[in-house]
Amino acid sequence: MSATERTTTSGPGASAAPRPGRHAAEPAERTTPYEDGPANRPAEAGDPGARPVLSVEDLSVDYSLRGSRESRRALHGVSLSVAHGGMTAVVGESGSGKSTTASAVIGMLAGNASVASGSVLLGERQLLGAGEAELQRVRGAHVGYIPQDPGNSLNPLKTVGANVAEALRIHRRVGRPETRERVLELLERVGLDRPRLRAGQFPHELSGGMRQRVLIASAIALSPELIIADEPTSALDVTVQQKILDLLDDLRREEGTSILFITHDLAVAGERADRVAVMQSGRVVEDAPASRIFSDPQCDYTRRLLRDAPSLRVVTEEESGRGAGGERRPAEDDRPTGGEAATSGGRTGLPWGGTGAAGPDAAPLLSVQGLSKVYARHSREEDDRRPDEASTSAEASDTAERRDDVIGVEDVSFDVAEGTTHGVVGESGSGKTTLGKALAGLIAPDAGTALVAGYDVARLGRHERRDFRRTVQLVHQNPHTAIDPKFSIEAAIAEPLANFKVGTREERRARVAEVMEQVALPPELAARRPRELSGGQLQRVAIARALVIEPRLVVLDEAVSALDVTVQAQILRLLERLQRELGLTYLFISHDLAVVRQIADTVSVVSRGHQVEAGPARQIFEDPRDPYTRRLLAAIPRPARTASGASSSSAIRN
Amino acid sequence: MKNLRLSPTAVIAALIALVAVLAAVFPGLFTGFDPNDGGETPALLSPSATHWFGTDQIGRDVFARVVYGASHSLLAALVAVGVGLVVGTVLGLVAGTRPGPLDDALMRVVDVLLSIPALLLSLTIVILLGFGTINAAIAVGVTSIALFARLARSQSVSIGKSDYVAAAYGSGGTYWNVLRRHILPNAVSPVLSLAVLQIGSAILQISTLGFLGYGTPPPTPEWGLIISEGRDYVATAWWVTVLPGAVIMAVVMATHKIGSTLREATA
Repeated sequence: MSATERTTTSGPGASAAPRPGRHAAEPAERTTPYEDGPANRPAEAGDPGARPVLSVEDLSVDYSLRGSRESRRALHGVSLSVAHGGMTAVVGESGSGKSTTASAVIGMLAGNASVASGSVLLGERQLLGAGEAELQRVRGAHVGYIPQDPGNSLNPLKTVGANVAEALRIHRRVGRPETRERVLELLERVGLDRPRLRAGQFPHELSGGMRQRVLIASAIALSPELIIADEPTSALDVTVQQKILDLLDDLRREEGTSILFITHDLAVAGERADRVAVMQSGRVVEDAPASRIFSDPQCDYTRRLLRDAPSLRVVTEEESGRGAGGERRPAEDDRPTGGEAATSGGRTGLPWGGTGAAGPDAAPLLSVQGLSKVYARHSREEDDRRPDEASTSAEASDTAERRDDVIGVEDVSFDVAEGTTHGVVGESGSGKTTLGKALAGLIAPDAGTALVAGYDVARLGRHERRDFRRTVQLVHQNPHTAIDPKFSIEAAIAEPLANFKVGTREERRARVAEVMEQVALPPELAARRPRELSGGQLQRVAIARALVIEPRLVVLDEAVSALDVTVQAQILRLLERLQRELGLTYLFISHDLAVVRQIADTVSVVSRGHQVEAGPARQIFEDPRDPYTRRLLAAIPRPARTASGASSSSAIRN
Repeated sequence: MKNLRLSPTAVIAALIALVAVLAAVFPGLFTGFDPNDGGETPALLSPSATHWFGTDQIGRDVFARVVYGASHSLLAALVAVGVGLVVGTVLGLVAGTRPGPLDDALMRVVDVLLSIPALLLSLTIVILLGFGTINAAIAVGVTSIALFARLARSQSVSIGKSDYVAAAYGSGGTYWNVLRRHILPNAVSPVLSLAVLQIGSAILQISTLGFLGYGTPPPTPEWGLIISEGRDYVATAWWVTVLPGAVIMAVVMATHKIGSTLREATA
């Protein structure tokens, strides 16, 4: 759809864009979005006084600090607007104030927050300073809300139908049969198959994507003018994310609903929104049509976000032509390729030249053959497929064999040469974490062999297991939970040394300082506690702890997934540098293809416990053989492409 | 702990607890009377400026008896809580980190302890051990083992699943290493606030045993015993039972308040 075109027409739109300019653009905006469904166009669409559905002006919010009279300003004069039938994306990293903005709009700020100034107009209605009773009438009826985590946003004791009916009951006194009719209608509207059956099921019986559809049904139950979607797809797999975003696009096109879309993902914002407001530390640093944000970013911070977003980086490489096949960093040639030098020489800080490359026929550091660890097995039943996956099973039956779904992993094989990175890609429940844990020796596989530097992971004796731990280290997803909150940073990094009784106290101290320098942590952090550090710093600590005993294989389990894009990019650069300097081998587990594409030399794609494809990264990303891989690749959001092929994307780049 | 916000009641509770502790350590600071010898003082004098809580049936100053009784009652309460804390925490930590038959066996024992009424259990134990202040304290302590074990187990189970424990094992940590360096320090703060919370009920239970005659033998001024001795005179000399009772209540409520404040702060 033509969201992108129409916004290019609205003038230079910084946050304080003069209202007249926007008014002038309105007529043009009106015509395009509803071309395909004029009947659905809301009555006021032709209203001459076309004002935005939501208009936030100069909004400032303070948070009072616990136990003191001081307060800290979280929002500094935020202004943004959502046009009728439009989607405005608010993009920012964690702590940028995007969720505070959303909460302020519906008057649901935390108890210690207070609005210092500003105005929030929903149509003609001033929401700031409105009484609780009025806000309650507005919420649900005029403003719908889609929360981030579908997992715990539905009442688990009520059926899906009752959950959706709640919104209807609160605002309208209608009879039971009518409510039921409307609920079924809504469930069908959001694309749930067999709504009658779904309405009687409980939330835990539904998948994440289906639950998010149910929440969307609740949000649109009373046909609100505006939907606030707070990271609605961040907890979902890419393929599911794509379908949920398509649904939101449909609602916008067919019902004329406006959407305020909160996200940390610039690529999603660029793909779906017509206007993007970039937030940084409580300020809107750039507010412009989506196309302009990508073609001509004005603000340094926006440029940095664009540069660091992994999926965008791939897009730019593809489209500028220079990166044809460039799935890897430019520094490819500097990297050590062979295992020979690594196995013979000491592993401490050896400078790695391109010499001594042993080539592909060198013995791999990690060799996995038919590895299986199965927790449970389901046979595939065609009629129990959720709609999200209808296409999958159809495609799956195209492939030669039809296999049972497996919880865990079954029959996985690959080799990883020393000094290279193997990416393991899959959606949640694909078994990638099980694979990582098995290779790190934390769980014993049922069958198959995994040789890591000569150790067979499946048959480790008690003493071997401890030696093995010096060879393989695991870095966890969430750095905030991976470091004991009671430990100082220095003690946390030194722990493996203490466990293996390496060196004296002074030697350990020196070694910790050395590793901290390697991961670019300032030495003064050594005495701090984990809670005083940021997520990115903590992930550096976790990496330092893994490196301190000089392992040869590092298993990175979603090691950058919990981090903001700019931090993510820093950590990826750090990992690349460490690999170059120390000749490390990585097993990089991630759901994020774009990230894997940046860092991996070889890739395995896993789905429902099976390895569907494995090979060099270049081949997987450019010539995927398996339909599942193709679907994953297609689901990466890219701002160049608009939703469901509704309109051409060329407008953006011109 | 740093962001501990003190409500006025918490401050009052802390002051009461402080006075109680001072009375236990330096009883001479609070009263000039001898708790065990009334001398020539008439019996059952009502409260006055000289005898704040009046005198009992043999002319002893009731306030002095309460002040001197603090050391016995508080010491016994500390012993009781100590027994429950140490034994319960060790059982709970081991059970929580060693899933399987050991965990099952320990937790079934704890279930049995929980299913017996506390008073009945402590009476049985004190009869087995013999009467006396410390024995009564141990008996009361045993009844709280189950509570501590449950809490310590649930803490250690959740901490045992955390990434930093996995990371500690992954970097070569042994079981005892991880238990001592990671699980115990992180599990201990809620357990300690339960301990403070338990002091109040331990005082009550010890006073109950004293009242029933299973605790400290007379004439030692233990709180439960003081009330017990005065109960025959409730109709004529209410102060002999009511005022010591009020002191016990105040101290129990104060420790309870401190305990729950600490619990909220550490949760």
